[in-house]
Amino acid sequence: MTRQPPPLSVDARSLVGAEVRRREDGRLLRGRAIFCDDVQLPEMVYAAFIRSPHAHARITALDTSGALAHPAVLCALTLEDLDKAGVGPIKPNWVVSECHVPRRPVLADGTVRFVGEPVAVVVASSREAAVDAAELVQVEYDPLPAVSDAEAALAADSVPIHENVPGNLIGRWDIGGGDVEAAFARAHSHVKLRLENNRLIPSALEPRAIVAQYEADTQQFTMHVSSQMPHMCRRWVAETLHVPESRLRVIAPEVGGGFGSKMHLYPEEIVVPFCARLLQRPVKWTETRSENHVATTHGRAHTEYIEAAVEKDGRILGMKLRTVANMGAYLSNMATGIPTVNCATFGTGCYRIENYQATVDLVTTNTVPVDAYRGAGRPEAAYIIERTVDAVANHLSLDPCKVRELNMIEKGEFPYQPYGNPIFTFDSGDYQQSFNKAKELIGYDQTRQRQREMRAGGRYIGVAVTNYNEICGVGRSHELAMVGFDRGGWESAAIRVHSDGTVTFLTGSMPSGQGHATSYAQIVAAELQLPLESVDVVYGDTAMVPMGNGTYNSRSMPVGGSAAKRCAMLVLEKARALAAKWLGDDASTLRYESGKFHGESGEVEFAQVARLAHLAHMLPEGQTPGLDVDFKYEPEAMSSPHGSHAAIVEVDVETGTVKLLKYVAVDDVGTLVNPLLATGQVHGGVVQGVGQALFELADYGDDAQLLSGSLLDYALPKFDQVCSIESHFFETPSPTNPLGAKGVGEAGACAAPPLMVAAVCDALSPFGISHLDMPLTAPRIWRAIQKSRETENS
Amino acid sequence: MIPAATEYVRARSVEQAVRELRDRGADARPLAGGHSLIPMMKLRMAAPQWLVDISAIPELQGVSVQGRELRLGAATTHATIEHHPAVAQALPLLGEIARSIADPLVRNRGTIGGALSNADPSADWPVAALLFDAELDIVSADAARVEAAAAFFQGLYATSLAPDELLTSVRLRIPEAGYGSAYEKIRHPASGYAVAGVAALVYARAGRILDCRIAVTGVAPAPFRATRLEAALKNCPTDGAEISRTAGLVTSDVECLGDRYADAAYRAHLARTASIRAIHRALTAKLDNRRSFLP
Amino acid sequence: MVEEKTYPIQLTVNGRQRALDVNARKLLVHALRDDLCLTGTHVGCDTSQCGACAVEVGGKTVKSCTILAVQVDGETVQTIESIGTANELDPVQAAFKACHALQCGYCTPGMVMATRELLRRSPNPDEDMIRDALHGNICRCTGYHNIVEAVQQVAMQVARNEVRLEL
Repeated sequence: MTRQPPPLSVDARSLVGAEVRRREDGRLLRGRAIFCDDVQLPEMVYAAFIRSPHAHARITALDTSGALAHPAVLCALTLEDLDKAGVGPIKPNWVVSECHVPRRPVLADGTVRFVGEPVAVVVASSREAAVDAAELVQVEYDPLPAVSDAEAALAADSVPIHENVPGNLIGRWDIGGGDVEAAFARAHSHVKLRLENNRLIPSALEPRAIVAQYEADTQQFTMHVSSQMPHMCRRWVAETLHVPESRLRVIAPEVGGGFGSKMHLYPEEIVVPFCARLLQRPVKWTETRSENHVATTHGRAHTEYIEAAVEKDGRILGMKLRTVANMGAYLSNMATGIPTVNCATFGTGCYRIENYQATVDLVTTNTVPVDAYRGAGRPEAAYIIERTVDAVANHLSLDPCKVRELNMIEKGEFPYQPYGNPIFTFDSGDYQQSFNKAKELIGYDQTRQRQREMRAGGRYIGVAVTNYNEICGVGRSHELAMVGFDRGGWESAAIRVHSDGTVTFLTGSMPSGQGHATSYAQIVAAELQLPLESVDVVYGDTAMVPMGNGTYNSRSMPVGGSAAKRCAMLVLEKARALAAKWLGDDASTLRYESGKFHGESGEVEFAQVARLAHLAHMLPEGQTPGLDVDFKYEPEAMSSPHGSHAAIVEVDVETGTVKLLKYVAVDDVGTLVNPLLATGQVHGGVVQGVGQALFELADYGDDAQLLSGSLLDYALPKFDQVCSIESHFFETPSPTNPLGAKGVGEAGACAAPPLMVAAVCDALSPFGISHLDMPLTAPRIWRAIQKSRETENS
Repeated sequence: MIPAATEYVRARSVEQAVRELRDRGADARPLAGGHSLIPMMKLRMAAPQWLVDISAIPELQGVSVQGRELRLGAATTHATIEHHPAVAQALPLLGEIARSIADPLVRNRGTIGGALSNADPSADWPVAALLFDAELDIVSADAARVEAAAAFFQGLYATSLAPDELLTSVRLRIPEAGYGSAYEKIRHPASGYAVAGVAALVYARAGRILDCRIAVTGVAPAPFRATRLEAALKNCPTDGAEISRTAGLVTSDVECLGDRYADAAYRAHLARTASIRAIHRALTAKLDNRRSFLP
Repeated sequence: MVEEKTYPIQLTVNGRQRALDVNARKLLVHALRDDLCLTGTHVGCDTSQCGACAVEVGGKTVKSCTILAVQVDGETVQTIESIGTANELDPVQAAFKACHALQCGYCTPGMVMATRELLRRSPNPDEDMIRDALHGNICRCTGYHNIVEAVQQVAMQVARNEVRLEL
């Protein structure tokens, strides 16, 4: 069937929930969108960074004279130049408990600590000259021993990476509740497992880019940055450059994907504006793809040790978790919060496990800093608990679905506070509904039958149904203080009502492909009961949008969307008072319908009220001119999406290749503002999760060299490596926010990794394989099968 | 992303191209589709001072059949070979191999001569050259010679081509009717290159393999013919068990490559598996059942 | 240091005659983006993997990051900017929009160009053919599902004579 957009002017009230086609698409489809590298300014010059080829080394000589001799070069700078100007260091803004925070210089401080660490910068009049001149900077290194593996870095004989981080342990963090020891003591048996959560490269298809300008007369900086949070970028750049925040304007133009990687402060975001001020010319820097692999944060990189205490019937009484989390060479913005608050906290997942204890070691290594990547801790948590449940099922020879059904939190138990933890509550959901539906849609029982028949013919299919739940929206600001997060949890929304009744909505949320221009227009137009075309959406410019905390943690709908809705409600309140005065009615008796206030004595359209408000000829007592509202929405709590995904895979046991045959997603992400866009988010998240499970690994060699240095080695999922995805939703609206939305951006990335591993291991069960670490590459699977065959033969 | 500075000359004839190559010596590189050279230049792993563009030379283009021989100009693109009716008629396996190379956009630029000359250990075209006894026409400013494919490939990125020589065409022998062929390739998930690729050319009658050729890429430093396996398969029953038993011989004469992704043992196993699959498919896809490779 | 040599080239880009002086190493994608301000063609990788830079040269879709600008002297080049108008999207573009086959949109121009190549070769592709033909174009956002759907949709529309493609 041909999919056609609905007519544009649908009934405004039904706009929330409508599959509106995106207004962003035209410019993107026709190549008219302006991404950061598309920005060209008069007299613009180009920066290139000199990066360390060593994982750990002392710099014994650093000479920029060769580069400076290049006729096209305008400057070549090192840390010394930045130090003289008092610039830096770069500081993280999520530091849990008591951590030893390594000092992170903007450029290398005499020691390099990971391959890719920026050592110097050159600026030249062309892209070509900048790259040529970068090769002329002479750096001599005295290599030091290096360590890339977090557990190896904790070993007593490991090389120390930072003077102030004894034993390379940045910090240790605990959480738990109930009586774990008692649960283990009374349990039928214990199940142990060790999991690797593979290090990933987020790989937004648009690499990072910056264009910085400086106006000497007013001392104003303007920066175009490919960023998920321009306002926060402004704050951090101002703090680090030591300039007033008021003098810095950050514009995030069209942003080509982010997935968590474009929301941290990077050295280039300091150096490029610094050069622009020094040279008084606009400076552009655009990352190359291979540079992205070493200059932009990585994700995941945990090792987990899990122990579960179980009853004979599969009930999980208690669970212990120890995580060793690789932070990389320096602490990136949110690094410490991810394996801890965002992961270990959720280690019990969708299940009623009342006794839980988790410890997380945050470890520094000679690798690229690790930070948030789509899901940021919750995919790791889903992986921990779902693999644990599968291990329990395997240990007790039970069907993994049975074990899930037995332990799942029930509908009547919400809001549910797992193991009495002090941090969060699951607000709502229906885990049985999603699980049963996924199981039914995948044809679980029929697939088991088919599996038996196919195995007889030497073919190996596997089937699995797994769950995930997560927590979105970042949460209440004062609670962020409790966990050491140096940000607010609120979001900004502003509405400008023009004299003709058209509306500009400004949001502090920042899309990198999610479709905010469309979905926010739906929310605002629905609330104001105006045609969709009457509402325009603005974001991505600190000079226009009052403030913003940006897009992460799937917060755009639950927090930004709630801000939009509340903001529109406040506009209507203002309009109502004025309409009442105009009509001569009591405000409380006015009915607002189809964009009109209806009173006893007549009716008045929103556009007319807007005109009246602008003229301000007859304002109600105490009301200011216009209908504009600037609003900040402070969330009441975090929301908790959940879902159950199911898949069928076939493993070619002679090559180890996995073929994904069928994928079903059943998600409850609360109220759907635009089901079309929500489905797109599920598809994208799922394929990134499949990528983690089957293909992706940022692989460090023994000398801490990154072996996955380009897309020739780092396998992003391609068209022919995945299958179509059947996506279903049901809605239990979140009680935590006025929109009822829970967040959808990260759901798929949480769900897919444990599902894929479970399905592949199910296929391989005849070989006695119950677990393999991700990524399940063909050689890794083949080797496991070989090992099993050899064991059988001996 | 940005190559080092270089200079460029567009050759209008083979004669001009080889003269340029001779005059500029080791600093010059021929440039055809550029899909091996330009990526290397962008990563600055190659920085030739001169590029001699041979892609517009008419003599280097074209597909033609003369008797039992298919001639491909060295600058013929993968896509041209993939979609050419004469190729589909004469050597349908070439279409299958072409379709396994990279992606359609790359195939619109990359050339067979470039791929053969680059001698990437995982490239696909070498198996066709080896399987069909290709003769490679090579010229320099001073001489012309013909090299058999078997002698052309000399190791990792190494061929018998001298820096001033140019591969101008590839002539492949068309087998008699009744031969079947197939190419089995296991791709690297990121690069798309062959972790192992095996092409089989098989002639069978009355349930026995009478003649068989196996060419392999991706597995060893250079592409090779699995001559011991070929010999062992002579008179082998076509029904399966015996083929599987002997297929392990495919790597018996080579030292397999190993890397971080796929170790030598895995590659050897893939070569065996791909051999079995290619032989079976070749047995059912005889040349006289000509399939059109046109969409 | 010797001044880097430049080469005069003439090409027809989106129907317009253009003359440029480029150095030999300049990639076609950079000539289009930096010299001709046709910034719809993107750079997503440096190893010819992603396809964000796809353009048509002589009617064939190619990766403009792996071609030197000097190599296309005398050629006809078509970029995404020549496909569709603000008032009327090209059928491929319209299907992408209808099926939500783009999110961040960075890969999209290349994806549209690669789709055109596919439809030139195979007007009626099935899902496997689509996935095979487009696998040199990487999308990190959509998970590919809706792109496959969009291509199927436009192929069906062409088959039913509902739309006409100018390929």
